[in-house]
Amino acid sequence: MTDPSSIILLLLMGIPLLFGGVFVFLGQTTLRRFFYVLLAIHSAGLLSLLMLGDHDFSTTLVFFNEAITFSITATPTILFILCLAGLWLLAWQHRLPLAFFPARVHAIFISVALSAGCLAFYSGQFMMRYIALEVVGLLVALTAIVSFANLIPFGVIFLILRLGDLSMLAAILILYQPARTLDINTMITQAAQMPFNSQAWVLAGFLFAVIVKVALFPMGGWLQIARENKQFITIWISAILMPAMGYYLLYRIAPIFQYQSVFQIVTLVLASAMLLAIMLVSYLRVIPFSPFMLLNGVLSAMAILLAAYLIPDLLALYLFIALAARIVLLYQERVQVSLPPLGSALLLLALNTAFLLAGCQQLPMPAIIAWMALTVLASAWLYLMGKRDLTAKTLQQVLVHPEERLPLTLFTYEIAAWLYHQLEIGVFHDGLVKVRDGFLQAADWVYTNIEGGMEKIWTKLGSGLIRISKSALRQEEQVSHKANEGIQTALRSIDKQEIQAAAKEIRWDLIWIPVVLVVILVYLMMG
Amino acid sequence: MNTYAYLLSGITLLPVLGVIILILWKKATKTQAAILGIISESCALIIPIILLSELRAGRSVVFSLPWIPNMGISFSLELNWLSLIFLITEVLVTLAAMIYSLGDKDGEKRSHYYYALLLLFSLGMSGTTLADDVFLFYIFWELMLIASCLLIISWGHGENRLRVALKYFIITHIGSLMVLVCLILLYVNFGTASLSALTVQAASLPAQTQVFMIIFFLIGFCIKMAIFPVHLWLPDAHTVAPMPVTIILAAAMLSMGTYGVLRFPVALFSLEAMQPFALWMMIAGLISEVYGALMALAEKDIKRIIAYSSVSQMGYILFGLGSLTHDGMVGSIMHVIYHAIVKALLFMVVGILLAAAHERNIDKIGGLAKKMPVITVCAAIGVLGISGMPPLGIFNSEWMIFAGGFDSGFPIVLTVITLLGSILTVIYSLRFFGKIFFGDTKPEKVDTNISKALLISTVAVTVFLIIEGLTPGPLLTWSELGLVSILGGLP
Repeated sequence: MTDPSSIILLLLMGIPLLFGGVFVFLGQTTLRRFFYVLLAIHSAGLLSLLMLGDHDFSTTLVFFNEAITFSITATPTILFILCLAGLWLLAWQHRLPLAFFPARVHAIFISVALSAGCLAFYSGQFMMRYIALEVVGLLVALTAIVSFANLIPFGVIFLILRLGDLSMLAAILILYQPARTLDINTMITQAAQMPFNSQAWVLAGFLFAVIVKVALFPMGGWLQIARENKQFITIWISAILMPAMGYYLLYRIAPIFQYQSVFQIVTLVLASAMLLAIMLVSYLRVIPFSPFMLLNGVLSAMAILLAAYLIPDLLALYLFIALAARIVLLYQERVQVSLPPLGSALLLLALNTAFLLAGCQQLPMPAIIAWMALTVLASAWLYLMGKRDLTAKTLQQVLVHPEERLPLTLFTYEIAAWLYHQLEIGVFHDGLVKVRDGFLQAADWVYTNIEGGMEKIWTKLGSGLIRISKSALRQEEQVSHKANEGIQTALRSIDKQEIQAAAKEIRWDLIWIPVVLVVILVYLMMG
Repeated sequence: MNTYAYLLSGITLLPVLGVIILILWKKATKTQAAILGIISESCALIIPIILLSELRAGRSVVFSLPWIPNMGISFSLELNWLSLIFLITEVLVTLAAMIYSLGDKDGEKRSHYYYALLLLFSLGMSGTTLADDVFLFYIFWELMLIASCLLIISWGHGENRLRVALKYFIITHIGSLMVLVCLILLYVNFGTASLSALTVQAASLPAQTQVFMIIFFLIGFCIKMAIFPVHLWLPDAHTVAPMPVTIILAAAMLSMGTYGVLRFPVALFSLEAMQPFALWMMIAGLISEVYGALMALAEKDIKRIIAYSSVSQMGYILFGLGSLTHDGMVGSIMHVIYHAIVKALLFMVVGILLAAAHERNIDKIGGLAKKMPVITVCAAIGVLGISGMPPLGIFNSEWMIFAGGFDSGFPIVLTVITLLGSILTVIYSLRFFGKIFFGDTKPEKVDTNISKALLISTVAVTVFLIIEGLTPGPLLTWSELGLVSILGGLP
């Protein structure tokens, strides 16, 4: 633990927290300077880590009887450097804002996010990574607050991200059983020996977490809500850092896809379905059309496809480019420069074709065909979307003006509309609010009928017991009363007899009888 | 018996001394009575800490005096790792509640009796955890119930406190009687009341008797744990009781049920004998978790919301115990402790809110964040804690419970549902926090002049919650040792 990379990493985790503490006491101007100093230190540290190369080390700190380990490799470092580049860009463009939260609070949030980021990218243990993801999830929800009068964005974001976290936790815990360790490498290796059923649960849990973290359809609702807050910190944490963590999670779990061929096929179908769904529903956005959300969705879905089939290095490269593309698109949104339609389409086409050429030897034929078909489709769609500039056009508007329709049949519109309204909006976007309301209604019903019913039963039982007690008491009183009466009658009778006896004259003529008895007794005792 | 053994008896004798002084000291003011209580509890806290060295050396501390020699009944106390965990939790919670009570308006009248009963309540719990004789166990077990009942009757709020106390007494007493039947059966079968001796012998009972006793023990202790559907005593008792008593009831007394499950059915019989009940325990835990959370969502009274959350949290504990795995059982023991801290904190916050806003309906309280920033932070930490947000403690225990569920050998889907059910906890706790501190409806009058005793105790518990969450290592080790002390090894 005395080598430079481990020291740098520990400093990278500690220094932001230290700065976070200092930020509490700083004024606006000094705060900004210190903030850039922190970014500079962190950037320098990450670059040093990249140059020092791969290194695994164990600390003296312990989590559940297991030493906390870290693994420094190039992939997370580059992802984190890209995140930091995004932060530089966004911060440079906006400076520290005077937002709903004071700048000081924002700076503290970023400090915590940087520390949590280090933990998430470099921790050798799944549970540490989980903790970091939870912390960043909470920060995303906190930074999305635009007013304390309306905490719904906070609640919905926190809940959606929590769902992803819980599915990841389930996957980790299923993996934990055979491995009996929280070490990521051991757990992933052990997963190969698990039964198919457990492997499927693990993969489903992780995949769902990735879909939530990278805000992929149909779990992208949280990112849309977060992006309504225009502060750069919200944009950075929600649209760059959290998805980068999701990408890295995908990179780490990629070996699991290889354990069963059926996983690859299912993932292929899933990624293709998501890609098609994204393309369809993007056309029908009720909210303004966003190239960022569309391209992010396309790139992320394709990354999942790649994870199922491709070798790790190529996947890592694709993830770097996907993240870089996100940053560029976000920056372009911030500076309000529109991307030429052909540009985004060609970018995707070139990127994916290059990947296909590089990885075609490892890919099976179905994957190659699907990859190419989806790339062409997505590129064409991007071009069309950009060209027709459907900003703020709703389905209704599109249907009313047939000349604005894309060359698709009405049937396709209906499918897309159904997907968008029922799945994205109906289930996942507003869904959680509905779920909450549903829970509330269910809770009210259960409270009134079951809890109330049990209360009634209890009351009846109690009343019944009281009635029985009263009745028993009454019986007892009656018996007691009768007994008393009997005793009284007996006593009265005895008294009466006594009085009668006392009233009689003494029979002196019979006095000899006791005298004779006494004499006999004396005689007997002496004899 | 060595010095440590005599020291151990101090845990039960010092509160008795405190009670005697308080009963005789009729002119004691509330502060004087509270300080006496606090001193007595502090001593009861220091003693187990001193005895820790003996436990670390691998020796359990035993104190034994013959009581009814003809019947083989003795006044026997034993401190092992399991009893230590529960004892320290209970004493700490009582201590925090007593400090809190200094700023609370309850117990102003007949203060000496109030604190004497609080001490007796605590003594009941301490004795329950330490008793090494089944009859002694039962006496302490009932003392706990009688003292808390008297506190509710004499200092409870509302007209119906007598009715509530009676309900609480009868329901929990039914559970106690079920436990008593089993204790008598054990005594009759083996002719000894020594728990240590019974632990060795009980497994030799016929299988049918074991099944009968496990069922009775489980139902009896589940009543104390307030598991659905035998939880009915809990919301009313928690609502009506004075706040310090509510804190002790929720944070400490509920844990006695868990202790009972571990000390009797789990320790007396083999895990194989418990196996047929494992799935039912897990299902009951799952139902309780979801049901309690739903009730907390539907409830409008802020005190009852937190009360129902106890039903939900006890569900997690039963689920973990039911898994009969190392992770599940250790997680459950840890959950008892973390839950006690979080629940004490949340009830302290509720007590302050009630004193400040004079309103219990969540729909009529709102926007308190600006007026009470410190309490807002404490409540936020409490709410995040109960939601299982890392690095706060409940996260540690919850994941171990879930790991136990996955390891139990029962269908994975059961644990997945339990895990996803925890999202309900997030929903009700966010609703609780959001409405009270950031809601639109503001109460007519808010008295922000909070007593220092209330504030200090609340902040102290908050800090303790954070520290415990960040350093789960010692508690994990203690919990594992606790399990070893009753099972003779880890499952």
